Amino acid sequence: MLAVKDLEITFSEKNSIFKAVRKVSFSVQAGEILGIVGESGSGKSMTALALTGLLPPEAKVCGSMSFAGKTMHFEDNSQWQGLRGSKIGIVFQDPAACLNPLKTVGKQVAEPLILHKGLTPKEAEVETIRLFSALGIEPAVQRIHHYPHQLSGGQQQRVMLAAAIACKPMLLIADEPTTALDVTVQAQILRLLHEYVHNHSAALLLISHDLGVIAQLADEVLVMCGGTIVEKGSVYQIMQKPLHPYTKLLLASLPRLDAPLKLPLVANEGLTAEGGCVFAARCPHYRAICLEKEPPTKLLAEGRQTACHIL
Amino acid sequence: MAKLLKVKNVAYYYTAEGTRIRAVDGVSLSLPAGKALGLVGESGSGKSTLGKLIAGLLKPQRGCIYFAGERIEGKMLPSIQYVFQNSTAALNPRMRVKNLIEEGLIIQGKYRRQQRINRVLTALKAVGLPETLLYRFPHELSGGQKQRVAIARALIMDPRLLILDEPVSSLDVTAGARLLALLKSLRQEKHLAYILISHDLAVVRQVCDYVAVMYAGKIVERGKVEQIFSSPGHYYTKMLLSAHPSPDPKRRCLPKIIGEPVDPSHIPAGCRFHPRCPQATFACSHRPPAFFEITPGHLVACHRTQTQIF
Amino acid sequence: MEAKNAGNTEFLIGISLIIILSALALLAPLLAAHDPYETDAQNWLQPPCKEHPFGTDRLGRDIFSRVLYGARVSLAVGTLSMLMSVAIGFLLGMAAGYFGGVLDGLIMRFTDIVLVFPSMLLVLTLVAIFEPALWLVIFVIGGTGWPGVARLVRGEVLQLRTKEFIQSARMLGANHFRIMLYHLLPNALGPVLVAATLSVPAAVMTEAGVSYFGLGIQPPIPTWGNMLRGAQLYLRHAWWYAFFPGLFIFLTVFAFHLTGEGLRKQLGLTRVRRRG
Repeated sequence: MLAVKDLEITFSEKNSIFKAVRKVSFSVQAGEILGIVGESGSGKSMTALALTGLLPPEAKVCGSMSFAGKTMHFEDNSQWQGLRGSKIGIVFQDPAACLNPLKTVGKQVAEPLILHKGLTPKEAEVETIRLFSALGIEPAVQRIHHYPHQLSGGQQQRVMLAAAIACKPMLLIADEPTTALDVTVQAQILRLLHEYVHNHSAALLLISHDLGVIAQLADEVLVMCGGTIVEKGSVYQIMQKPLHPYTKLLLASLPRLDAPLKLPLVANEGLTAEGGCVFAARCPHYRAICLEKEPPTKLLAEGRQTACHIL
Repeated sequence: MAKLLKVKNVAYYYTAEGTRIRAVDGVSLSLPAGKALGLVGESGSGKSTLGKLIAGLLKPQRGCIYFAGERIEGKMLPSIQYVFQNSTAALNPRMRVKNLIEEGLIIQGKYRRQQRINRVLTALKAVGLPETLLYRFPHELSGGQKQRVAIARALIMDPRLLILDEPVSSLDVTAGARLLALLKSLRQEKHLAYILISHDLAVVRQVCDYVAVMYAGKIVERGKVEQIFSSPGHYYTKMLLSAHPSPDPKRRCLPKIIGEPVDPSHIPAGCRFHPRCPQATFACSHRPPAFFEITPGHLVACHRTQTQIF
Repeated sequence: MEAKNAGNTEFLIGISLIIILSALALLAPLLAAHDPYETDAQNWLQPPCKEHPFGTDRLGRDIFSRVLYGARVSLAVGTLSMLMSVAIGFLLGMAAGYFGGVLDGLIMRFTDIVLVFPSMLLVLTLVAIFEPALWLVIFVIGGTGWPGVARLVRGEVLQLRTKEFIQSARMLGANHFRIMLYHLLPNALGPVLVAATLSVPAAVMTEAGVSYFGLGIQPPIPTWGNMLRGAQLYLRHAWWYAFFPGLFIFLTVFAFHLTGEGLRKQLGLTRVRRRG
């Protein structure tokens, strides 16, 4: 349903060029949840912003994406206007910053309904109330008249979700949707995301730094590091038999309830791998070639792929 | 065994926008020297406030805090240090790393210049930072490095108790794991006691010997780490444990969580957790539960656990 | 990036102008070809010529020399009164913001009272009561210019006071003095620097205004203000008489404003939004 091809995002500053995302390609089917995992600076959020056409204007974007049978080029920003909010829904990390503090939450959710679906304000309000109670924002009839600051963080994120799914988008992009929330609220939001994908056979792009969240929800996983995809596979493949040393490091670093941390303490201080593998400077197994050449993406069995010299 | 820290029935209330907020409402706990206690709970549970009360940054309205046998309510001691959650905000942006770490020694005024510099270098090494960072400003450091500077700043006071408020929540997974490893080794080296405040049970599991679970300003369960994680007694602890996302896709479960984290301005009567408890009975909504020791050292404040035992 | 560069050029132009003006003022005895007090009954109201680049005034005095000497007075009044108001404003604003409570209330009400009086009026009144003199003008302008700084510092301190690094310093045992000096002051300095720079032209203008009314520094000591006063009867016949002192007032005000604005942008105190 969604296929992204050779996405590249560059920022140029005076005399230096910074590649935030380099040659990233992936696809998502309807009803599928694709998890993108990586640390800050891995380019995962930039990828999400590119898909919604919300990148800052100084970013240079290349590549194309085909979405719902239409091919669009990232260079042309105008194509996203009609899609955003109607066919692509977006949920960001910080709901307090995304919601307009001067408008009631009900109005903010009704807005895309009026804009994209052509509902009358009255119809939109009815639909908003229905959405609110479906997402557990109770009592819905009163909640629509509240302002964002009157709601808790979890409720605000539900409102964001309501606005994102109001027009029943085929693609939902959630960028760190639960990072600022308590574990209990996180579980509730993840459940709602899962329900939406399941009930509407929509696709979900779930971006998170938390492997736990990804493992709970995703079908397919992309592991990103330094703007490239270092590993891709099904959630079982990635979590149980990680191949790339970066994926292994991420998994080993995650504090678990059942086992104490066993850390491979590696940081190859002072190593620079300009033009080489993005992970070489932190890789415990690096060799000379890793510092010089970018590893090619190897396709393995069962749709799995990884980019590493030493495998 | 002599306890390093004893907190007895401490309460801290404040008024915000006309409503009285019971942030910490009658909490007792104790901690032996060199041990680590994890304080867990959702936002609004009062865990950070409790940490600040122990550190002396806030003064309790009620109750006593004893440190090494002395009453210390509202007093800040060099031997209790607090590492703030947000290291970006906790480091003066106009000071260099050296001055930041050195500050405590300058205030004490006990050491000469050269001694101070030696101690700064020792502290820097202890937290695993290279000397090349000595003259950097905070904004030139990564999140993990800033957190380490904040810890070094506290360590230089030779504390016996370190209170760490969400030390890894703002860090990347890999940086967080390295910091946890550092905390573990520091504790053994310096025989430090920790109070680790975190919303993440898995983080507490890595570092602590004891756990206290807080809800709405009260401790609802406390005990040794193994006791709490292998046989949680309170339904709230169970809820927290079940909500923790496991990285194992085979153990997928998105539990049905009832309700929302408690709003500290509207604390329910009876057992404070009863509106969200799947097993609440009539008694739960009327009578606050008392602590009950289900196994030695494992205390639970829940009516249901009591009735199940007998 | 763009915004920062823009701030940079403004700052550079402004600061160069300030340096040039200060150099002119300091080196006045060397640069001035004539004694500013020397009258020349033969050559009164001469238009600019080789001998008198800015012309002469009604008593035949060289306007160029008088403008240079006037710069000394104006800049002295500007900087000294600025220093005075920054010092008072910083102390009071810091105390009010840091300690809060009753002290804050008292200080801020006092600030309001000072702020209520139009400073020009106050200067005029005081100068009318006492003997007009240079130190009095500086003292009065400095003594009435601080409320802005005090409010600014108080606002900054109120914001900074709740920051965790202040609590963290308290945790290490830092006393009030240390917290104010090492933690609050350096972090509140940026906006104050801008305000200080912008308060210099205000003081220059006030001084010129007071002198223009004839209540400031008294002739024959040349100041831009009393030169303008002297020129007002001759505006139709001798444009240079009023033009050059006026030009220098304008240049000074312009230079300090550019510097202040440049500083403001460089310190990132106003968010400059760029549109794509």
